[in-house]
Amino acid sequence: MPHDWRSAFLTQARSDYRVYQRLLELANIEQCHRLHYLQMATEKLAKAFLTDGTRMPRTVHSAFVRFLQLAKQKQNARVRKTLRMPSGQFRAFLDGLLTTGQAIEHLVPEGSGQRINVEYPWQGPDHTVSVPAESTFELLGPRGFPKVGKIRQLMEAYFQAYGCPI
Amino acid sequence: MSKAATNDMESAAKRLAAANADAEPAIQEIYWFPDEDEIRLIEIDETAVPYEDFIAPFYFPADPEGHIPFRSALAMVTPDDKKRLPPPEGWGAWEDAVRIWPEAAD
Repeated sequence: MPHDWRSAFLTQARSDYRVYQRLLELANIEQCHRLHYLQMATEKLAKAFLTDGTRMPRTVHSAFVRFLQLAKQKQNARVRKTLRMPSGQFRAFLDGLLTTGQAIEHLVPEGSGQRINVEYPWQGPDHTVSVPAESTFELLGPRGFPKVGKIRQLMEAYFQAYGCPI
Repeated sequence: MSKAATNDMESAAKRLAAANADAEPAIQEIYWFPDEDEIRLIEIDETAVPYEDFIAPFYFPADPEGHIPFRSALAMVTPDDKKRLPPPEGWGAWEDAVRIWPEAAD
């Protein structure tokens, strides 16, 4: 099926998101893999809006947080309708997601190998080497659940509004 | 672009800028880069995530229900980004932009 760049990134984001959903259903799977797919889906969703469709999106850091900040202002009627939220509620909803969005973006490994992430082992300040597959991530714990749930609601609303329903 | 079309685009840009400033109190200024096809805005916000070496706008489709009948390209930058970085490629220079919010007092 032919795509423009936006539709291509949205479609791949939806596919990553579907894998995340499947992984949630599996009992014996390490948390890092679930979060890895969620992180990849958020990144591709944001990148879908870093293009007008005619060009490959450029790579920028913090794309998802930037996307959330602008989504708040855009008051996209299609997305709001999907979420059935009036304008003020939609803004507050997005405001409440920025910290979680940032936490999801920080799950990506960085060069020094010292940051907690979902893909590669890292070394902590006490020189202990840790493994993502053996780590627990607060985002998927009971405290993180409501916020991640809202991120999921928002992502599903964007997929729905832009022709890629889950 | 005809004068009428320019006026429509400018009016829509002003509506979008005002709505964005209303939604985000940390916005200090909004610059409009006139273009025939899309509304191009850069918003100056000290709480924005700083860019490293170039400004990349986000593109949104037209939103007729929200009274924005043109597609838009928006970037949110810090005051320091504005000093350090040029506008996105093809948008011209900062000097070409119109400060669209807050509007200058008459």
